[in-house]
Amino acid sequence: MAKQTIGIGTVANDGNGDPLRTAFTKANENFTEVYADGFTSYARLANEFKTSAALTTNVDFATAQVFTKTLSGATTLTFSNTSIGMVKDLVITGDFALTLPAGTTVAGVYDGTVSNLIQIVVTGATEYWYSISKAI
Amino acid sequence: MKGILVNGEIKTFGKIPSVWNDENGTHLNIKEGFGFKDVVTPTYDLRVEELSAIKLVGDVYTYDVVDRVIVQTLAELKTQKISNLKSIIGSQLEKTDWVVIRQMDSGEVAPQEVIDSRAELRTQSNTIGLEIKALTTKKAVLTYDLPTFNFY
Repeated sequence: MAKQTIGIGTVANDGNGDPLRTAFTKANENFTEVYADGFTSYARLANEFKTSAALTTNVDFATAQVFTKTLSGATTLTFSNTSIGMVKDLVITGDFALTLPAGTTVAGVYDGTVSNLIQIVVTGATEYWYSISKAI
Repeated sequence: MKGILVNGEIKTFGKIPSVWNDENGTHLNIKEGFGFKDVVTPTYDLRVEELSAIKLVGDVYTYDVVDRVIVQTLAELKTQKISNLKSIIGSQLEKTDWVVIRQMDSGEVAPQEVIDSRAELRTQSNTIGLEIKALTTKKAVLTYDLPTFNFY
């Protein structure tokens, strides 16, 4: 259901607003839907949390959750729109050197012969933790 | 082996690390470059030589081979070498000591080939001992290879 907005007229007492019952019915139906989804649902999430995007060289944290790229040469990635606590996933293939912004810790080993999942956790203003897992 | 200059110090690795951090970022899946160069280790005799500090020569990191400082005197080295020789000979003789002891205890005659082997061992021990004593340098003593024996 699309959000139902209560009509309030243009100015006070102009007679163009919703009747009181209609207004609270809309409010109830809005809340019923919100509560039915446990206040939120996956579908309600913004694209930055639920979409996958092809990656060039900049990982824009505000645009997608998963970024994919097949390397065709040594590649340096940059990050933008990061905030502490953000977690993003890179699915990278290609047997070339890959440079990420300096990370505090890296777990796992990149394998150029298979797909690699690099998960990024933003832990500070320019602090990142990386963990790498690979397809078997 | 690979080496890289980090903060004025050359660090060496068996192979390029799977993850490398520098001022440019975190590097994954490096095959070459990024400051890494081959490390060439010259052959040297560990008994009397050692490697200098690693250094850059051309486009590789390598070492000079320098003589090891030997604190023992020539006489001490000879004594040690002869001691090693006696230990080796002794362990060979031990293998057939029981035959000689049996002869002494019971009168059962030891096989001639055993007696000959033990005599040969002693002869070689004396010969090698004399060779060691005749050596004139520490390096000669340290690089003198004692033979291996495989008698009874």
